[in-house]
Formats: sequence, structure tokens, C-alpha cells
Amino acid sequence: MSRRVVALAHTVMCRLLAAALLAGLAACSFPSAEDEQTQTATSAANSAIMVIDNWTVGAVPSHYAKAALRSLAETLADYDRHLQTTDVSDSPKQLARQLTAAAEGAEDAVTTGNRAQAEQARQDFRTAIAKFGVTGRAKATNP
Amino acid sequence: MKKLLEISLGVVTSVGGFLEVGSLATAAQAGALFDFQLIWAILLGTICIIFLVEMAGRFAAVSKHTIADGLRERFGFNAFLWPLVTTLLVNFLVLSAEIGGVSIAGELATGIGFQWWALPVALVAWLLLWKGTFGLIEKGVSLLGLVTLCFVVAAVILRPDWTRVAVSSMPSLPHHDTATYWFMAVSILGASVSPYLFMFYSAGAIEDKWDKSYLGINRAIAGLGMSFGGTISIGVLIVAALVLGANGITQVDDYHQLPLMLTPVFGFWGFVLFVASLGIACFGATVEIALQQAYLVAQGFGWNWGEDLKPRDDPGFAMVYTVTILAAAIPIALGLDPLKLTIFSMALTAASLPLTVVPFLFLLNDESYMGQNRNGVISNAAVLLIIALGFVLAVVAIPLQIFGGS
Repeated sequence: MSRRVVALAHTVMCRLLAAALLAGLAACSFPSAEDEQTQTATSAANSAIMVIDNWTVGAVPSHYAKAALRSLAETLADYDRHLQTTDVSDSPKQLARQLTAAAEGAEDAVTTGNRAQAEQARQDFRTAIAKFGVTGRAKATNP
Repeated sequence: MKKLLEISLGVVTSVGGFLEVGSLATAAQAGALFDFQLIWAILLGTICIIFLVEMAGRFAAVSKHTIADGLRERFGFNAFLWPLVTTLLVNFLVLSAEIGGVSIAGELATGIGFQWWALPVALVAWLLLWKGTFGLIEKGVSLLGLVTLCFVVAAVILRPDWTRVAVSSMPSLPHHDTATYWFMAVSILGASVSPYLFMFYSAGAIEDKWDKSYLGINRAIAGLGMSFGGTISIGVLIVAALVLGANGITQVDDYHQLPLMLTPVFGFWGFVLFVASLGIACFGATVEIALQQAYLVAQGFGWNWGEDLKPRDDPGFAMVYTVTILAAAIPIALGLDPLKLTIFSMALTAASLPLTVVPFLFLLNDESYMGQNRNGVISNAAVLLIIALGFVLAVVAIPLQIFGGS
């Protein structure tokens, strides 16, 4: 009797899991790796802006700002390298280049304590992010 | 008056010891990407841990057994090996992540890379375990952990839309990044219902020599302490949503992004508070998990154990925390990303919960151990439901996350 109960419980559990797996797979959309990387790059760029803002007003120490910007620059450089090897139009490739250059400029600015250069890097980030938004919307309406 | 003092101290230490790298990282990622939408997962996890902590304390006070001790005695050593090995493995990953958390705090404070901090952190934690007493570890570190309340203060200062916060306490379907949403829900559940939390609590009740007169105190500590602890995690999620998410930082993949959460509210002190919160909370968890590993093995094998004993009186117990803590520091010293390790180990924790929690529920329903203080229907049903949900979500979401769902 107890073996039958265990066998029944086992079957029910297996079917429940299979159903859950199927439901999960059916419910999930799989965006392209490009979309995912764009989201990561945009987040990294926005983080860099926040780091610059905080460093400029003295809310974070220079050693942190430098390390954070270096790490974010690496993320953006990865994104740039990825785009250069994929079949996309020139516009996103140029924007990725701009973001990488802005991140390197920001890191230099923090290293040398140059606030004007940091402000310039911040502007470059903002411009590139705004263009990214336009490119993304254009892609959405005209896939 | 004495009981009130004990309750207050118990609640305060539970609050101070609640936040660790898992709950901080998962709440921050969830808040940044999904705004307040995953508050329900923290609430569910908190309800589950309230029940489990209350049960762990009740079991220790009534049966005078720790959980590991009871499982071995009730099911035999062979059956006990499964939850033992699972818990040891999951705890090991979480311990490594906690050492990573303290190491990140070291890097943020000094600029010296986190890899260089792993072994010194392990050494200091080991020294505290070797020389310190249970009271010092339980109360000292947890009291310092009250600094994590800064996230609740920050959340209130940021003035969130409380109606939306309340609405988010009910589960809802995601509008984007579906697989990530469920994976985050699983990770939050894993972070909230870490087995080391209630197992450590049970061992602590034995160390503090609880008896049936402590049942009321136990209930108050479990209910109030864990509720306030859960409030801190919700505070982190709200701050992440209103600071990181609102500034377009939806992907928190880099631990350098985390200190930015508190600076818009507290300025430079926000940075200091974040580093202190991360360092103290993770150091407390490091010591507790290392101790928990030693409790598990010593109780499982029937060795002499007790943090208040001299290491020469319980050499096996001391050896386990020594080896575990040093081994757990190695992946971080080799440069494994602590944030990625944290998220992964929290999801695995959720997946492993049935193996650790279900046998425990058997004990709590066993009259020979619990007498009249056995579990009620509500506590059994609530814990089983949440654990089953966490397990099913983990089985679905972990492969999807690994193989590229969103």
C-alpha cells in the first residue's frame, strides 16, 4: 500500500514538474543576445554618469570612482568588441565606440583629478545614451 | 522584566543578523530591474523563515535536540547523509559569497582588490571563532549589524509611493524579462530562507540552554525579529528601485554599482554606511555559517561540540570550522566574482530547500520529540507551500537563466 502511495506521489511530482517546465518555457520570451548586451551597456553607461556625479560632489572617494569607472569601461569595451564582430548597422557600432571612449575619458579625469574632463565625459555619455534610445525606438518601429 | 530584556535582545540580534550579501544583492537587482514588483517574494520568504525559526527554537526548547541531532536520531545516519551533504554544500557556497561580500567592502574602503581581502577576512573570522564565545558572536556581531537599518531610513526619506509598495506585496506577472523575473524571485526566496538561519538559531537555543519556559520568547523573537529583518530587505529593494532603476541602471551585474544606492540620500556618509553595512552584515554571516557547518558535522557525527568550549575540548568541531572557512576563502582569493556567486548560490539554496526542510517538518510533527507542542496545520501548510513554490520555480528558472532566457 505504502509503495503504491509513494509511486503515485512520484508520478504526480514528475508530471507537475514537467508541466511547470513546459509552462515556464512557453511563458518566457528569448530576446537576442544583442538586446541583452545593449541593456547591460546602457546600465553601465548610466552607472558611470552616477559615479562621475557622485565623485564631482565628493560623495565617493577617488579610489572607488577610478575602480568603478575602469570596471564599467571594461563592460562597455566588451559590448563594443561584440558589436564590431556582429552584423549590425554602423550607427550602434559608432555609439558603442563613443561610450567606450567616454568611459576611458572619465577614468583619466578621475585619475588626474580633472573635473572639467569628467564633466565632458558625462556629456558624452548622455549624448550617446540619448542616441541609443533613438536607435532602439527606430529599430522597434522598423524592425 | 528579564523576559522583556531577553525578547528585546533577541529581536535586535535577529534584525542585525538578517541582512547578508544574498538578501542585499538579490533585493538590489530585483529593485533595479523590476521596480517594486518583487516585494511579494521577500514577504513570502520572510513568512516562511518566521515559521521555520519559530519551529527551530521550539524544537530545541522542547526536545533539547538540535535539528541535525534530531534528524540523525529519527531517520538514521544513512538517510541523514542527504540533507547533511546538501546543506554543507549549499552553506559552503553561501559562506564563500559572504567572504566575498566582506572582501568587496574591504576593496571599496581601501581600493585594494577584493581578492587580497579573502584570506585575511577568513583569518579574522577564524580567530573570532577560536577565541570568542557564542554570546560574543551572536550578540556582538548582530548588534553591529543594526547599521543595515540605514536602508530602511533611506527608503523612507526617498518617499516611495506606498500604495504601489502595498500593491506589490501581492504576486503579479512580469511585463518584461520573464525568465529573469522568476529567477530573481527564486534567488530572493533562497536568500530569505537560508537553512543556516534556522539551523544556527536551533543550535544557539541549545547553547543558551532553552527550555519550555522560552516558548513565548521564541515566538516573539521569530515573529518580530524576522519581520523587522524582512523590512530591511524591502528597504534595499525600494532604494534600488528609486535610485538605480530611476537612473536607468536596470542591470546590476557589477558590485561597483551597489554603493551608488545610498549616496543620493546621505552623500559621502551613504558610501560609508553602505561599506559598513556590507562589511559587518557579511562578516556576521561568515562567522555564523562557518559555525553552522561545524555544528552540522559535529552534531551529525555525535562529536563533542559547543562554541563556548575550548578548541582542545571539541577538536573535531574546531577543525571543521577551520577547514571550511579557509577553503571557502579560496574561490574569492582566486578572483571568482562574489556577486555572480551570490546570486547563483541563492538560487541553488531555494532548489535544495525541500531536502533540508521536509525532514525537519517530520520531526516537528513527531509526538515523541514534541509532545503537545507539535506543529499545527497552518504552520505545516504554509512552510510546505512556500518550499514547494521555491523548488518548482527554481527547477524552471535556473535552466532558463543559464541557457539564456529573459
